[in-house]
Amino acid sequence: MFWTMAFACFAAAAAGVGGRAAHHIAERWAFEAAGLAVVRVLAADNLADLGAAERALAAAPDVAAARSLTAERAAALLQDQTGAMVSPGDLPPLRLIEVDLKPGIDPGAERRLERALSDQGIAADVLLPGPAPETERTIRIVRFAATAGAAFVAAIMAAIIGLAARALAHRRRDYVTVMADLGATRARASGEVGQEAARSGLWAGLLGAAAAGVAAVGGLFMMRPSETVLHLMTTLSAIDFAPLLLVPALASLVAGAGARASAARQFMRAARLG
Amino acid sequence: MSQYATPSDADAAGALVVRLEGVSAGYGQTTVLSNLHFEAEAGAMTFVVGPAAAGKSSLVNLLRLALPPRGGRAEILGADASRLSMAQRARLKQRIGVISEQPQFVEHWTTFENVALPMKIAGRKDSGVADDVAELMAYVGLNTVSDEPVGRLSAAERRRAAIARALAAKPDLIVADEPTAGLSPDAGFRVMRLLEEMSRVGAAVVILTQSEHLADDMPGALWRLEHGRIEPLYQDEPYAEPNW
Repeated sequence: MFWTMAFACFAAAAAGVGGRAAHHIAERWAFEAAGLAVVRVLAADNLADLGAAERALAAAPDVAAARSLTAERAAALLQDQTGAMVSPGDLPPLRLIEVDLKPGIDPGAERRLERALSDQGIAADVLLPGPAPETERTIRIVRFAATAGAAFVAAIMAAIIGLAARALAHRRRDYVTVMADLGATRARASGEVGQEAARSGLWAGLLGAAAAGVAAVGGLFMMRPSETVLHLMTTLSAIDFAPLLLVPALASLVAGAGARASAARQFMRAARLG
Repeated sequence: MSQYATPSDADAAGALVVRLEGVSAGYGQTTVLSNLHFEAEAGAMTFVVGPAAAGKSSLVNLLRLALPPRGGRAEILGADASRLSMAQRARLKQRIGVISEQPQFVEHWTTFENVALPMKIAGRKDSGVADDVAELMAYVGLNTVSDEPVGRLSAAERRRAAIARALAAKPDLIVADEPTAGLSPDAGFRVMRLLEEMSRVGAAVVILTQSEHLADDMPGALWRLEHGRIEPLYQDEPYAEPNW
C-alpha cells in the first residue's frame, strides 16, 4: 500500500512539475518571440548615468546589443504596440535603454539584467514587451492545457491514494472490530486508523515528491547539459516548488480521510448487527 | 427478586444487571429471539443452557449491545438498550466483558497488548496496568506466550487470552459463550473458578453453554434457551459455595 501511494505521489508531483515546466517553456517562447527588453533607468540625473547603464548592459552575457532609446524609436515602438500615431516631440525626456537579447535567452534574464545594473550601482527596471496577440493566445492555451493536465493527473492519483488508504483500513479491520467490541468510540477507532494512513501518506508523499524533484532536475540537465544550478535558480520561482510541497500534504490528507471513512464504516458494521 | 440496578449501583450484590422483558431480536428479516424474559443479577452466576442454533449467539450479541432489540424492553447495566446513543453504547460496552466462542483479536499484536487493550480503551495509563495484565495472564496460563503475536496462539490459548481480556477491565457484566470449550479439564476448572471469583467481587456472570452439567455444581440460576425462547429452570442464592 505504501509503495502504491508513493508511486501515485511521484506521478502527481511529476505532473505538477511537468505543468510548471510547460509554463516555463511557454514563457520562454513568449520571451523569445519578443526578442528585446526595455530597461528603465531609475533616478538618472544626467546622460552620464544613462551611458553607464548602457555600457553595463552591453557587457551583460544575455545581451546582444544595448542602445539608448531615442524619441523617434520610442514613437515607432509605441505605434507598433498601440496602432496610434505618436509624435516624437510629444514624448517626455526618456531614460530608457533598448536591449536586444541573445537568442535562446530565458525569462530569468530579466533578473540577471537587473542584477548586472545594481552591481554597477544603477537602479533600473527591466520591462519585457509582450508577444504578438496570436502568440499570446497560443501561449495561454499551452499554459491552460498544462495546468488542466496536471490537475487531471493529480485527481486520478488522489483517487488511487484514497483507494490505497481504504486497503490499509481493510487490513486494520480486526483492530476496528475489536475496538468496537471493547467499547471504543467510532471516532477513536477510525481516527487511529486514519492517523496511521495519514502518516503513511505523508511519508509516501515526501518520497514521491523527492523522486519527482530529482527526476525533473535530472531530466533538465540531460536535455540541457550546459545548464548550471546557479542559472537554474534564476529561472525558478517559489510556485515551481508548490507541486513538490503540496503533494505530501495532500497525500496525507487524502489517505487519512479515506482510511478514516472506511474504518468508520467497518466500525458501524461491527458495532451494530441485525 | 431484587430491585432494578442503575449503572452506579450495578455492582451491588443481588441488583439486577440484565433485565429482558418480552424482548425479540434478529437479523434482517429473520427473528431469532422472541418474547424473551430473562434476568441476571450482580454477584451471581447465571447459566443459559441450550442446543446448537437455539439462539445463544444472538443472546450474547444482545447482551453485549451489538444486536438491538426489536421489541420489548432490554435493560442492561441500567440503560435501555434500544435507546442508547453511540457514545453511551460505547461507554456501556466498556463495562461488559465478552468471552465469545470465536474471539477476535488484533492478530499482529502480542497477547499482552491484546489483553491490555480494554484498559487502554478505558483510559488507564498507570504503571499498574502491566502488573494487572501479567497477573491475569499468569492466572490463565498465558505468561509464557505474553510476547507472542496472538495470531500464533493455539485455539485453546486464544480462548484463554479472550478470557483474560474480558476480565481485564474488571467488568460489571461478563458474558461467556462456551467458556470451557476446547480447554483441558484442568484449564476449564480454572476458568470456571475465575468466573466464579468475578461474580464474588460483584460482577454478573452470564454463561451460555450447550453442556448442562457445566452448571451442575455451580451456584446461580439456570435457564433453558430453545428455538429462540427462554425459560428459568432454577435459581440458587448468590455466593453459594461451589462443590467442585
